[in-house]
Order: sequence, then C-alpha cells, then structure tokens
Amino acid sequence: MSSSLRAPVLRPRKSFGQRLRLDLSRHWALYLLVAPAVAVIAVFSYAPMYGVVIAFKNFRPAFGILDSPWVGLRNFERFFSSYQFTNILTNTLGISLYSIAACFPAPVILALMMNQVRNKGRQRAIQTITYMPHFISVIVVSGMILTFLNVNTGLYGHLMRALGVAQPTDLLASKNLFSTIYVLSDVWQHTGWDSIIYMAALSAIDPSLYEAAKVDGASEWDKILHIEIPALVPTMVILLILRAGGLMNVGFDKVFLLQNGLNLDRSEVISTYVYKVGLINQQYSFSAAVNLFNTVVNFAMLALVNQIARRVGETSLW
Amino acid sequence: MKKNRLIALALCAVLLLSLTVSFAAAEEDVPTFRIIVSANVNTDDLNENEFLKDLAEQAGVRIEYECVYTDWDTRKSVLLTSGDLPDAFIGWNVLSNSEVSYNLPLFANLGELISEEATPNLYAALESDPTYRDACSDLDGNIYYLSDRMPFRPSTYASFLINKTWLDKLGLEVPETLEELEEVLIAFRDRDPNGNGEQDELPLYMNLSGDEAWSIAAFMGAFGCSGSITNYFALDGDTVVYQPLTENFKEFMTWIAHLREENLMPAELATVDDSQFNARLSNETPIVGMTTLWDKSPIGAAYQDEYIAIAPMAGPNGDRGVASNIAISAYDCVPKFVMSADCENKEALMRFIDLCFIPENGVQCFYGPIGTVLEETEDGLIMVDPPEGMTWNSWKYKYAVNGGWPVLGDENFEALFAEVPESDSAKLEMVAVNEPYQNTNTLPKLKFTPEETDELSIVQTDVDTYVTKKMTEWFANGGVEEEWDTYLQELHNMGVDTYVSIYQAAYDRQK
Amino acid sequence: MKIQQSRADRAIHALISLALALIVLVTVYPIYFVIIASVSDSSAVANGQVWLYPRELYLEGYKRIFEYGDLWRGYRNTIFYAAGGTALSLLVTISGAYVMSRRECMLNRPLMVYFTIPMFFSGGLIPTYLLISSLGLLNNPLVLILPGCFGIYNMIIARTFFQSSIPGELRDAAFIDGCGECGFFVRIALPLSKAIISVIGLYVAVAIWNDYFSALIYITDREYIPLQLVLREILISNSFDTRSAGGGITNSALEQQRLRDLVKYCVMVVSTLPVICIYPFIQKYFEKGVMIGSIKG
Repeated sequence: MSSSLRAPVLRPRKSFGQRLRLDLSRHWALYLLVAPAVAVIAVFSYAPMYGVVIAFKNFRPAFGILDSPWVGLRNFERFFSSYQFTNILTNTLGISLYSIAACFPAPVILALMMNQVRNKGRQRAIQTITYMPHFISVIVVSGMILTFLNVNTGLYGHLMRALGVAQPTDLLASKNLFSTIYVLSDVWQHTGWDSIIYMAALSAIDPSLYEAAKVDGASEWDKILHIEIPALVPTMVILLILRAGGLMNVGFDKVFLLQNGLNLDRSEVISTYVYKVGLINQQYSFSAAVNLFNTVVNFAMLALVNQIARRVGETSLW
Repeated sequence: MKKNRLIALALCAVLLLSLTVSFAAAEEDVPTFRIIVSANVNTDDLNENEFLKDLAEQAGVRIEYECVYTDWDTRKSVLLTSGDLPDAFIGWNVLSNSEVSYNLPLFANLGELISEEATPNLYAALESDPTYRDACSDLDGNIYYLSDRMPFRPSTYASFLINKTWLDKLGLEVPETLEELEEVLIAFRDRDPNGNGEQDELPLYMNLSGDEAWSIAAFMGAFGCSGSITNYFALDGDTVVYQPLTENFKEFMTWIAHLREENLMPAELATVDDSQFNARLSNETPIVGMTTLWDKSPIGAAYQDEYIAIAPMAGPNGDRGVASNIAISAYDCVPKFVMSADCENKEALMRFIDLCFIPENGVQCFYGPIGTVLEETEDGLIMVDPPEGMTWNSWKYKYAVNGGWPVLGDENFEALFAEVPESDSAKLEMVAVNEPYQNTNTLPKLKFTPEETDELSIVQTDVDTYVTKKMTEWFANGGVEEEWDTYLQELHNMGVDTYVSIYQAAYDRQK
Repeated sequence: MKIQQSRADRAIHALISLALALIVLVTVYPIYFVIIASVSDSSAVANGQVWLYPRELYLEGYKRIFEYGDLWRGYRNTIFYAAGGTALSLLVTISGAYVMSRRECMLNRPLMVYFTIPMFFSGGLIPTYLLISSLGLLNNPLVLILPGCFGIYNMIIARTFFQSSIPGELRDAAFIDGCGECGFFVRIALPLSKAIISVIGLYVAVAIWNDYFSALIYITDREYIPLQLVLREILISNSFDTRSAGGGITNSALEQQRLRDLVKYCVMVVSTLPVICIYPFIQKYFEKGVMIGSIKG
C-alpha cells in the first residue's frame, strides 16, 4: 500500500535481470531475514516432495520409492470408480462447507463480544476459559459427545425427560443430525482458541480511532461496525482463504468415533474410507493417490478464493 | 539408567567370559543380532529377561531386543522402506502375510535354513504338525516366516451368558430354543427380575456387528448360517458361502428386528461405543439379562456369578450350532518371526529360534520364565497368581511376547502344565457347553495373493460396511422383507461376486 | 465513557454479558466434567451417573500415570523442546513474515507461492523419513524442533498483522531518520508486534507440546521421549491387545476398558493443565495504544 512512495515513478524500463539486481541490492537485508525460512522449507519440504510419485506407482517397500513399478493413474481410477466415491465426496464437501459456515464467523463474534468487556481481569478470565476446550483430545471429546447425548443415560436424555418429553429422539441415531453434531462440537471446542488471533488484531487498533468516534458521538454498535470489524477484515480474509484450502480435510478421528451403522450414509468421509481400505492391507499408493487428489482440489480452492479476494478487496495471499 | 544397564550388561559379559574359559576364544566374536519386537505395553524390557539370555547363550549368540510398544503400523512402514532393517522381527502382528510376500527380496527364505541337522526341533515341529507347516508357508510353498500354534485354545468362540439368578427367581428354565428364549426375554422385560421396581432391564444386550464371540452373529447358527468367524463367510461342502446373501440370513435379521421391535433389545445398541456397552454390563445393579462375551470379566464383579454359559439354542427349523474355529483359533497363520535377507550368519540366529521349539523352552517364551509367571510343582507347571492390581491378561505379557513368539503349543507343550493356565481356563470352561453343537466345516484362515489383496481391499471395505450398515438399520427400523431385493442388488453392484470368488479361489488353493 | 452510555449501548452490553455468561457456562461444564470424570469410577461415568460431582473419589487413574517411570522425564523433555522450539520458530517465522509483508520486494510474490505450495503438497512420511535419516537426525532431539520451525500458516497470519498494523508511513519516517531495514525491524516493528509474537509463540508452543508423532517416528532413545508419547503409551497400554492373543480375540480390551477410560480423562488433566495456564501471561501483551505513541514519538 505504502510502497508506492518509494517506488521509482518515471524511469526507463529495465530488463528483468537489471531490475532483479537492483531489487536485491536495495532489499538485501530483507532477503537475508527470509533466508532461514527459505532454507528450512527447501530442505524439509521440497526435498522429500519427490514422494508424490508413490501415487502413480504400486509402491512396495522392498523396492523403494523410485524402483517400485509405475501404474499410471490406476490408483486414482480405483478411487474414482469405487462404489462409495460419490457418496463420500458429497459427505466430505457437505461437512466441510457446513463447518466453514459455522466455525469461521464464530470466533470473530466471540472476539468482538469479549472486546466489549472493559474489565481486564474478567476479559482475561473469560478468554482463558473459552480457549480451554481446544486442549481436550478428540478421543475425549467424542467420548463426551456419546455420553452426553445418550438418549437413556446422557445429560440430553435426562434434560428432555425433565422437560416432559417421554421418548426423546435419539440424536446419535439420526443421520441427518450427524453433521450438525460434528460441526457444533467443533464450534464449541475451537471458537475460543480461534478468537485469540482476532483479539490480537483488535488490540492493534489505533486508539485515536476510538477517540474520534467518541467525539462524533458514535454508539458502541457503530464502533463495532465501523472500527472493529474493518480492523479484523484482513485477518478474516486470510483465514477464510486458508480454510478454503482445507476444504477436503475433514478430521478423521472424530468422524470415525462418532460413526455408527445408522449415520454411515452421511458420516463416511474420504479419510475414514481410506482408513478402512488400508486396514485390509497397507495401501500406501492408494492413500497417496487420494491425498494427492485432495491436495489438488484444496489447492485449486485456495487459488480460487484467493483470486476472488484479490478482485473484491485488497487482502490476499499473493 | 541406560548407562547402568549397559554397565550391567558389560559386567555380565565379562563374567561370562571369565567363567567359560574353555570357550574364551569363541566368545570373542559371538554373533550379535538386533531384533525388533512389536511388544505389548505390559511387557518388560526383553533385554533383561534372564531366560532369553540363557537361551541365546545356549545357541552361542547374543541378541539385542528393541521393543516397540505403540503405533507399530507406522513404525513398520518406515522401517521397511528405510532399508535399515533389523536382523529379525518378532511379535504379534509384526508383519502381515502380504507384507512379507509383497517384499520378498527383503526377507530370508527360512526354508533353506531348516533341516534335521541344523534345526532339529523346528524341523520336528514342522514334520509333526502339517497344519503348522501350512501356517508358516507362503503361497509358493516356501517358508519366509514362522507362525505359532497357540496352546489351550477354545474350539468355539461363542459364549452365551444368561443371568441364572433371574431365571430362578422367575421360575424359568434355561431356554433350549429361540422360542423359549423369547419367552424368557419377555419375562426379563416385564417382571422386574432385578427387583428394583424400575423397568430398567435390558433383556438381550449384544453387539450388532462382529464375529461370533461378541455379537448377535452367535445366533446365526440357529438359522443354519453357522460358520461365521471370518466376515460372515461359511462353507457349504466345498463351496464358499457369503452368508449375508442367503435366505437364512434374511430370516435371522428378521428375527433380530423382531426382538428390537418387542423392546427385548434396546435401541441404543445401534449407537453405543465400547465404553457404554461395558458400563451397562457392570452397572451397580445388574440390568443385562443375556449377552455374549469372551469371558465374564466385563460383568460387574459383585454379580458375576449370577451369569452362566448356556448352549446355543435351536432355531425355527431346528438348526442348532456354532462354528468350530479350532483351525483359526490355534493357528492364525500370521508371521511371528521374520528374518531379514541382510542378516549375517542366519544359521546362528536359526539355532536360537530352534531352541524355542523345545516345549520346555516354548512355554517360557510364551508365558514367561519359570520363577516369574510360571512355577514348577510336582505335577507340572502352574501359572502364578498375578501381583495385586494386575489382571491375568497383563500378567501373561509381563515377561513374554505372549501370542507373538514362534512356538508350537501342541500336546507336548500343554502336557507340561499341571492345570490349564488361569488366563485361558475361563474361556475353555465357558465354551464347553458348545461342544455338542460344533459345526466343523468352517473356513480356515485364508492366504491371498498380492493382486487378490489389492482387489479385496476396496470390495471388502464396501461390502462389509454396507452389510453392517444394513444390519444396523434393520435392527433399528425393521424393513428386512421390503428392502431385501434392493439390498441384494446393491451388493451385486458393489462387486460382492468378486469378493466371494476371491475367497473361493483362495480356499480352493488351500483346502 | 461510562457516564455517557446511551440506552442502546447499555442494551448491547447487557446482551453481550448475557451471551458471554452463557458461553462460559457451556464451556466450563465439559471441562469440569473431564475433571470429575478423572476421579470417578468410569463405569458410572459411561452409565451417566456422574454429572455434578464425582461419585466416589477414585484415584486409580492418576496412580497409574504417576507410577509410570518415564512421566517426569517426558515432562522435562517436552518443556525443553517447547521452549527451544518456540524460540527458534519465532526467530525464523516472524522475520520471514515481516519480509513477506513487504510487497515492494520483487521476489515477494514468487516467494509467497514457494511457501504456499508445501502447505499442500508433501512427499509423505516415507521420503521424509529417508531424508531425516540421511541428515543424521534420527534419534536426535533436534528433529523435534528443526523441520517444523518455519510454520507457513503462522507466517501468513503474522504477515497479515504486519501489513495491517505497521503503517507504511512509520517505516518511511524511520528510513528518513536514517534507520536501516534491520534496525527498523528489530527496534520498531517487533516492539509494536508483541501481540502477534505472543500469539504465534503460543501456537508454536502448543503444537510442540502436543506433538507425539515426530518423536514416535524419529526418536527411539527413551532418554529423549516427550511427554505426549509417554502419555500415549499409558493410554495404549490399556488397549493394545484387543485382538492379540491369537485367532484374534481376547477379553483384555473389555477387561481393561474401565481403566483405559479413566486414564483417558486423567491424561487430559495431566497433559493440558500446564499449557492452559500460559494464556493469561500471553494476553498481557494485548495492549492498546502502543501504536499511537510510537507514531507520535
């Protein structure tokens, strides 16, 4: 935004090499600062990346990655032509979109609300409490969901009967409610934690803006709308882009632990399916192919949302 | 600690060296082997197991064990690929059959090392027990791994347990047929057998999926379906039958759905997890009328004795049976010992393994050294009671890789015991009632080619998942009759025929 | 400010207080449940008999955990890893993020793409293992902090913060005053970014604290074992042999389920209590009004 100030305005066009040299000499300090990051990524992320070829091979450990036989797209075909493919793809996308719709705005709202608490001690206490659930392991959370929602012995059952419902519906047995249970428990577990980043962004708001608003006689609501939300937008956009890049990732553990014969139609997602296929025999190549498919979709989604964000606003990943 | 251990080891070595002066020259280069063990978490460090040390010394080798306690599957895949293989692997589930046959260049052909001269005990074991030889043989007939034969195994898995106190209280007999069973269950439901004034009884409480030891599948025998230990596959003569495709299965599921409809089985069975399932069994007051379990231990300690094992009941057409599974029970055909092809001095390591096939050594490899878990009495060996706070099941793993060591648990092995070890006796007593009703024509553990395994992985996942799903849905909502044809059609669409034909082919090869 | 509150403002505040109270309640209860479940008979828990208070004090689970020899060593190691790893990661990530927030660099966009790709494409476990092995990092505690020390996700978040919170004018003013790039970054940008540094620090520390997988794969020497792996062993020790004793079935899974369920809750309490307590210290850095002072001064 501000860079234009320093950018040369009128100069004869230089070749790419010249410009690069100029840039390097001007910003050498910056490039030095980023060098460790570039190096770490080069070694630990790019160097092993040749491993994606496993998806196109019939990988057998004895032969190693490079010497295992090529099978072309066979692993992908197996996945796409599997009987369950359409179903698990739909389920995965459905749960994922639902999850974005619910889990994305919640921390923003929570952060805005917490920011209204003027008492520092109380604010800190509320935040510490709301971020705690993040640390409960998925296994325990799933166990708690099953215990709480049990229609006979759970909190839910007791509550419903206390309210006079003699035969409450079994939430766990309903396939239509599966995604809601999944998403709401995610909201419960991660909203507090996710709001931390927004709290940090709110704390960076220039206090002079508030003072100006006070002079203008703005209401609290106006302040939220015109000062705080705009301050959060860049972070929101970035997090939304990143989330779009996780479209195909629906956490394995919780889905698996909450699955039962009655909700299977809606609860079988890509990760649980690949796990079950792999149980019968270690399917290195098959799961590599599925992962690659997920990755490509994720990357495409990220690029798409990023592009939209660039067009609409000024924040984007690149 | 590690250092101390090393020092202790070094001291021992020095001591040994000085004691066995005559072998001093040979001791200089004792072949040393690294063995990775996929161990139970209850198992102590095998490097400190005096018995195993002695055994290694007898064989003139030294063995360093590296026990892996968690996430073996993940560790295994990186080990296999990294090329940094140990000299050998030992343990339960250490490698699957297909992992061995997929990666043959990695492993030694043990068959070439086994002979009457070099490995007399192992050789004799393979000769005396052809089933055991088969269990160790790969599809090509070669031996790339050693499996085991487990001692004191039950010949059937299913164990119906019923609350006898309730029966007596209500003046009812042990049911002999499903019809009688239903009457009993109705009485359990309506007549408050636990006497707390609440209708909290769960007359029949069983898992919906799983094999005969655990689930409603134990009732399949009453519908002429018996033989479902492995994924509901059974044998009709020499024909492999996938039972969920049969009319018998339809009848069976209709009956189960009927029990649910009558509230003789609670709806929650469709959604409970293991914790909740077990919690019902150990509720403060007994609430479960009848169930099926491996043994009674999950039942509340205060009223465990109220439950007795009963024989399978006769079905509507007089069918009455359970699958005999001695073939699978004792021989699981899974690699327990695999040697790396890179192992130097394979013969020396085989000398050590050979010693494990002497029954006196085998028992100690399997249960633990004499003086720890086992004790010698005049009549033979007995298993010592576990220390306070330890279960029989953790106890038998403390000093041994129980069920993961290559041994032959045959009659000679069992004869060393004065009595059936406590860890196994409970099950054996319970299944004794099944004896007259065993169906012995059952599938053995099958071995598949790598191609078959690849093909199976998707078909089997699809079909098994679908069948389980439909069973649960029928249980919860009924509708077997209406949905049966679409169900069959769906199964065919997802390739159940391939599934069955692969099983048939594998059986034909093996029978 | 309080005196001038309009009715609408008061209404909003009341509404927010009410909502927050509700949220706190909904959050606190399950946490409380974990704690009482960790000292109750697990059958009673699964049977829905434990809601408000533990039925009877049952400390078997904690006993089991504290008896486990490697627990304290695991704690010690994890604290070292978390501290060292966080320091290293902050160094690499924050400086990287700062550079990536400077869009005038020609290589900014290509570098961003360079960093984004590994968020999606990875070689998978096996080639990574081979790499670590060839670098000689197997069984070296460095493997737990070095490969993940540049968090791309964290970098992006920090970059956004720099972009939106460090005004370009500030930098221009500093440059005119003769401040160099590095000088500006260290003396002006960093002090203004305490909030984001503490947040990223928290993210990294928690990630290292919870990581067991790297240790599982790369560390075999028990001297270096982190807490989470110890706890995982305790958890699994009660479930491992579900199908171990041949034919595939034993009862031990059932028999030991009760202890396993109990241990599950205890492990939660033991492993997360220390991390949960960090937050209030972090929030200290969420101060308003730093920026204005720095621009004026």
